[in-house]
Amino acid sequence: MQLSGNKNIPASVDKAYELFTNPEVLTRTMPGLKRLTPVSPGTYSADLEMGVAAIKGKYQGTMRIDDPNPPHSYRLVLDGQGSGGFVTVNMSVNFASSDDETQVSYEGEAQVGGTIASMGQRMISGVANYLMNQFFQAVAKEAVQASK
Amino acid sequence: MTQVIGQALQRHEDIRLIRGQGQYTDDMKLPGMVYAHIVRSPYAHAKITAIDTSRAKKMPGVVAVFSGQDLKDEVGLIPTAWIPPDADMKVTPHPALAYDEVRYQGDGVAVVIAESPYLAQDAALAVDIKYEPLKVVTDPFEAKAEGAPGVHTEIPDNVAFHWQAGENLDDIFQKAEVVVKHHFRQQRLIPNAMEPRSALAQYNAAKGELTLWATTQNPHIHRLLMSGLLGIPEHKLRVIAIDVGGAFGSKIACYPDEVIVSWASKKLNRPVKWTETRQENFQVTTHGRDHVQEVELAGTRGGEIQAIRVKTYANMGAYLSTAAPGVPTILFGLIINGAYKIPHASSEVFGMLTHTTPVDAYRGAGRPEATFLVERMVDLYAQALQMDPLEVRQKNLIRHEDFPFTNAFGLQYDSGNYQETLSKALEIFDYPKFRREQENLRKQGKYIGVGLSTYVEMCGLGPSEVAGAVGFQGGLWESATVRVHPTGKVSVYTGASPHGQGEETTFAQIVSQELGIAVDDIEVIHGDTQQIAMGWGTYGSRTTAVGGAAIHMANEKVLEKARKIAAHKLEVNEEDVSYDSGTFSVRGLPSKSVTFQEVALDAYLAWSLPPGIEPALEGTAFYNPKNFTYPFGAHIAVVSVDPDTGDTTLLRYVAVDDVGRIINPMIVEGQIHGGLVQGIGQALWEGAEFDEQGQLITGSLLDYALPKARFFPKFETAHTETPSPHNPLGVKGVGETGAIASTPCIVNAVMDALKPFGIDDLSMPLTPPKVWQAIRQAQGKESLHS
Repeated sequence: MQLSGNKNIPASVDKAYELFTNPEVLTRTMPGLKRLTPVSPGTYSADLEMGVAAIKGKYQGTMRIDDPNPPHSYRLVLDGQGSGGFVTVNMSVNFASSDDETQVSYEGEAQVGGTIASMGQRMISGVANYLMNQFFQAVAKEAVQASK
Repeated sequence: MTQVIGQALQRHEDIRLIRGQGQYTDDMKLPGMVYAHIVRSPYAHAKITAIDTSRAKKMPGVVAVFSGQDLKDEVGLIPTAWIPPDADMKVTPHPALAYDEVRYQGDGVAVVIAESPYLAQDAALAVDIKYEPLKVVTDPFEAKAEGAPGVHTEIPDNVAFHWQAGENLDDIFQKAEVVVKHHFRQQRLIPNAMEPRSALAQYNAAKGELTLWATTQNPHIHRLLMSGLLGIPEHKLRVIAIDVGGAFGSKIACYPDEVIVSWASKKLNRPVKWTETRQENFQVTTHGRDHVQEVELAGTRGGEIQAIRVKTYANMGAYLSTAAPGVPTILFGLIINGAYKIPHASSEVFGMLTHTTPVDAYRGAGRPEATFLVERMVDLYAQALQMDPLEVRQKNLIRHEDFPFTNAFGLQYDSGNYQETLSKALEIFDYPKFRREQENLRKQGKYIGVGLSTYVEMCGLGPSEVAGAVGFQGGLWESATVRVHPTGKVSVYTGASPHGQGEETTFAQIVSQELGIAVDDIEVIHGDTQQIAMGWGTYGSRTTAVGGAAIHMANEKVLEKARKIAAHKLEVNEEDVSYDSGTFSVRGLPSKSVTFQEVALDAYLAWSLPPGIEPALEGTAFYNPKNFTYPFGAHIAVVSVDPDTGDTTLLRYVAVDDVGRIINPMIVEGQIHGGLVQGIGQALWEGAEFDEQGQLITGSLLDYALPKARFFPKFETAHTETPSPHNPLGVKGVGETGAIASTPCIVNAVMDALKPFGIDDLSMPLTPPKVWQAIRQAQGKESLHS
């Protein structure tokens, strides 16, 4: 499944980049992300909970920030396995300043396998977009709070 | 004698099934029974790098957790029991639980056994498995490409077998006036029997005996195969399948799940039951069809078909299921000429391994795939000649005087009158009138189409000698015991294993007719290897043709002995005894008589039997058919296609079938309806799809379009009856005809409707978006992606 979109974050490019790569911020803002434990620089072990309708999955895996080019871009690689199946995400995240905001855009691919893929196929991309939107809004809120 | 054969008697079995008093495997409850849940791979292809069962073992109610490592040295591999000859076949090693590598989404990895099915399911979530995902291939054509991921690394190019039949036709094709070439995709289908699969195993350690209740179409084949791979001798193994809620071929195979519970019951010394969920039924119960076909037809400009050849890439899935290799070879490749007198034919089939659910027989099994290609090719050939497809059929159908007809592959079609079924269909449906109406409606922007299909199929499987010659690892005869009790009531034991087809009634009608006793005095017993000595099961429309013929032979033995006893009692010579409607009487002296019941009692009391006659009254027979049977028919479908929505509406469906002699017309009608619904389902709605990672994305009844009753008009059915000359009852078989004939009939009709747009073929299923896109494209409009 293709993932792509963008959102304006009310913060400078440097601030936006910092927010999007801060494990504490990510744990607070990313829907379903329960815990991020640093393993090595840029690599975290992650606990995730995600689902479509009644089908919920718990995943354990790793989240990596690859090719960091602060404050312009990085690549987010997420790989989780669990009872409900698996989820992998590989997407580039780009930051561009626009007026006093930062346009954050993402583009990449997500793969979901197991029960959710078989049972919730029709809803997966809708749910993925919904979750991404939730995530960006939560980060935007953090940006507003940080600027206060 | 009143005529019982030919009566539309209501189905005897329905009384218990409708009341919920049947005995399906999942209905069984045994003291101390525990429940298995199989942990399945979410990946279509991956290395198993670690399995940790410790957390699951501590969960409430858990009795045991086993992984593939626990089983691998204790049970044999899941067998493949059809090895087509000269096909360089490589049997895929298929462990009951994967232990190193998983090869399709749903491949079993571990089993949790607990005190309740729900506790087992909960604990299954606590089995921690680490996978290393590997590359995946799902398409049978792509699987052969260089660099395609290997399903079994020891099998090069993913080719499990390469089978060929027929002659080299290059010369004929080069010289032909007209050659039509086309690619077809026979999409994958999911059988969806109403009852999911289930297995309950009970091991008796003291006796060393295993009883297995299982959803199988062929309990004796299960006993034979399971005995080998479990190491339990056949006389200590009992397989029971009393009521089975539909199968359509999906319950022929010997599955890992049955092996796992059998092994676990022995290990734990407790009865172990497993019942699949509907989701598992989608994922791991065998699928059907899935071919990529390259077809060529050669003919004259005058409409005479000279040759047909096909190269097929048949998707076998990740492992070769029990009967799977025979389906796209013997049951497909030998009958691609269909009902036509085509002098030359050749078939080439690659059995391709992919990271998908194993494929096996599905209603029609090979013959729908063959019928589809020839019936579509005939229409495309007619189009190339600007000739009416009806005319091309009439020119090429095998004629009545050609029977017995031997086709280009050596199959001998037993009997037929193809012109008669076609004429009858054309009596019901006014073809010239339709063509006129169609022309008028087109002018009004309304698109209706007519589709024809004339078919023949080989069924009544089959002569055992042929079974052996074509690599089927079993016989295909059938057994019957007709046991008359002292009161004259009768128990009939059949080695066939009906699971919804109504043979408890059909067989009782045969016995009632032939022994002259009431249907209510007869009980048909099937599906228990301890009660029935041997049998080969129910598939390939063989039950009445082969199992029924065995009963007929057993009846003859009963009557022969009863007549001797009656003659003795009546103090006349045997030749002087006549038998009618349950009474033996002396010829010319009807008042001197003895009833069948009295003879039965005499046989058991044995106070005064004729010299040399043993006590009791029963007949056992084993019938080995001389040939396959060849039902045939002509179907006509009328559809309308809405160009604004792409939606197809089925307006009429006419089916004229000749299935040989009809025992119970209501049951025959029901079988035809069921087959039609499944065949039309393939044409218009059904289709299994995997994504590029091998995830089954049509894994539920929400995502897989199983036809509903409201999708169909009232079917208009009629029959001709051409008895099979070699079958003692004259019957042929009806279970698969509808699914064989209807799919191309519908596609032909839709293509006929779309003719004004210049559309000559679309791949199945012909869903509204696909048809709508094609119309837009044809009109030069931009296509929209859904």
